[in-house]
Amino acid sequence: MPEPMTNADDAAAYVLGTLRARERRRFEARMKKSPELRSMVRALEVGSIGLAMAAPRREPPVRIWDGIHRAVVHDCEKRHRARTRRWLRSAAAIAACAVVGWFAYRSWDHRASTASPGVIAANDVSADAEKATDAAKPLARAMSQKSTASNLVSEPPRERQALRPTENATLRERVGDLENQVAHLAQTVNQQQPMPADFNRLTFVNIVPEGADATISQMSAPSPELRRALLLGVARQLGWMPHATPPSSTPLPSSTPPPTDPNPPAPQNELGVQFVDLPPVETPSPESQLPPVETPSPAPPPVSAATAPEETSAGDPISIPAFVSGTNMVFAMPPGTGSVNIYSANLFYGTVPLGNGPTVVNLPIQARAFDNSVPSQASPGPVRFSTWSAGSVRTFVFTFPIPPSTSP
Amino acid sequence: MQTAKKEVLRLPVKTAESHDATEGSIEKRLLAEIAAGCQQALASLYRRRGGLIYSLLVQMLVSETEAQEVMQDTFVQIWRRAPKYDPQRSPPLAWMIMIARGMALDRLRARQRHTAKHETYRREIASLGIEEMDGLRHAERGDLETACAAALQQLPAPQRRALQLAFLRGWTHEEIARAAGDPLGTVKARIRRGLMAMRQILKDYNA
Repeated sequence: MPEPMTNADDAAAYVLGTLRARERRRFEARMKKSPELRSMVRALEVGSIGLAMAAPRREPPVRIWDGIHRAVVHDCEKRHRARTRRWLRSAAAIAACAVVGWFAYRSWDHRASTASPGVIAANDVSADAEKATDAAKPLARAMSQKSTASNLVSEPPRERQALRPTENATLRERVGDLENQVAHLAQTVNQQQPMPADFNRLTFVNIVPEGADATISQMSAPSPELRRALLLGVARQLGWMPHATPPSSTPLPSSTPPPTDPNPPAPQNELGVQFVDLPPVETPSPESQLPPVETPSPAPPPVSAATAPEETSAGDPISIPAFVSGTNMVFAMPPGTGSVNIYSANLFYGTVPLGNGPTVVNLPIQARAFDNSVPSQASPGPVRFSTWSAGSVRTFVFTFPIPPSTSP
Repeated sequence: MQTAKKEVLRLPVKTAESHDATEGSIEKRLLAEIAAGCQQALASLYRRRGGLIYSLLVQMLVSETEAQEVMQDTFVQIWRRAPKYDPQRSPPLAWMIMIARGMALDRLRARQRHTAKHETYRREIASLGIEEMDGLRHAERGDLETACAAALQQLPAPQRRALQLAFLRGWTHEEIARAAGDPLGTVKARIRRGLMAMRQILKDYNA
């Protein structure tokens, strides 16, 4: 009865190489999973070294090494050749792929071109252009000239140009549009270039009621609505916002006092803001010197008048945002039901009715408006606004800075 | 006999230059260089272990001509298989011996499949030519090899024969048991113990 094989016996048979192929594979599979088996095999391998060392000593002939050396050199050359062959095969495969890919691309490109109706027509055009009698040739020449005139796109090759006239025409139309847009933009930029200088000349001020210096700290800032209206006035003054066509007639509010100006300026309503451009007053006329109805004295007070405020109305003191651009003064009035009379020195500019929204008034001040009582000094006279609303009068005084272009 | 046994066991402690661990590390480095394609490393390894492997092959194949052919093939195989050598699995010399033995056993099996009969067994035992430790041979061998040969001689004859038939002739356990007329388990145990005894000799020598 055969004795069952132990791990040690299997390991010994494995080390001595006496296991059959199937048993050997099975043992190696077991050995991979068992560190103990591996350790046992390692120990027995050392024993096999002892057995080999116990063999009677013989010295190998020299020719054995010569044979080994030749075989190794031959092996190296074979490896090198195999490596070179592998490299060449890879290079050939890559080159073949590249060639096949190139042909496939050419085939696809040709088929795509043939499938395009524009290209079919282009082929006809090209063929006819060769004959120099077809009408397509002048067309192609005209297109070529147009393309040359365009400096935004590079001129395509002549063959492609002849092949795809439809696409080229579409592209040229787009290029023409782009050129127009670029020209328009360039013009706009040229117009906008002096803007910073114009903008720098704007002087923003807050006009407070006359004699309100002592209570300036209590003045409420202009409302956002008024500030927005003044900003629109700035845009309008600088030409950023086109002037709308004024309506034929604007009804005045019912509470408007009897106007003193027989031809009040027609206001323009834009973006919820009423714009009033007062006409310049060239020569003081008796009519223009007439004070408004509610004004206590027909003659404006002197420049340095530090009199008591003429306002008789109750309510919170307000300030009027304004800016001066050259000889124009623009200010924004809050909504109201009354009107405002504007006069300066000995000139009366007119009466502006207030509306439901803010009113922006453009007031052109002429050199004569300045108080030239002192000839040696170019001192502009103050501008006064008298607002009349619900029977109350409020007067604002604003003293102009010296405009650069109107020095006497 | 007792005196010889005592002499074998009383081995001198080796110095660092002949330490097997150092030898093993040198051979590992050489195998790594061979794996990188260094022919000089192969020549160095041949100088160090060529004699041992050739001696083993001659003892296995008896014919020196065949041993030379297998010797050449063995070192070519070492050159080719060096990249696959794993130092964690086996010592370098054991790995080289395994290659040499495998090729020699293939040659033996190709020569003629032996029949596990008692006559064949006797013939093989005679061909093994187990050398006796005479003074001349002892002078030609190194200390470790002398110790190994002496340790093998110290083994009981049945154990030594079973070990040699398995190691040098590639006989299986069953073949040895059948030819010797011994139980299979006994043969297995003899072979296992014989290998462990040879290992112990190397262990004592390097201690």
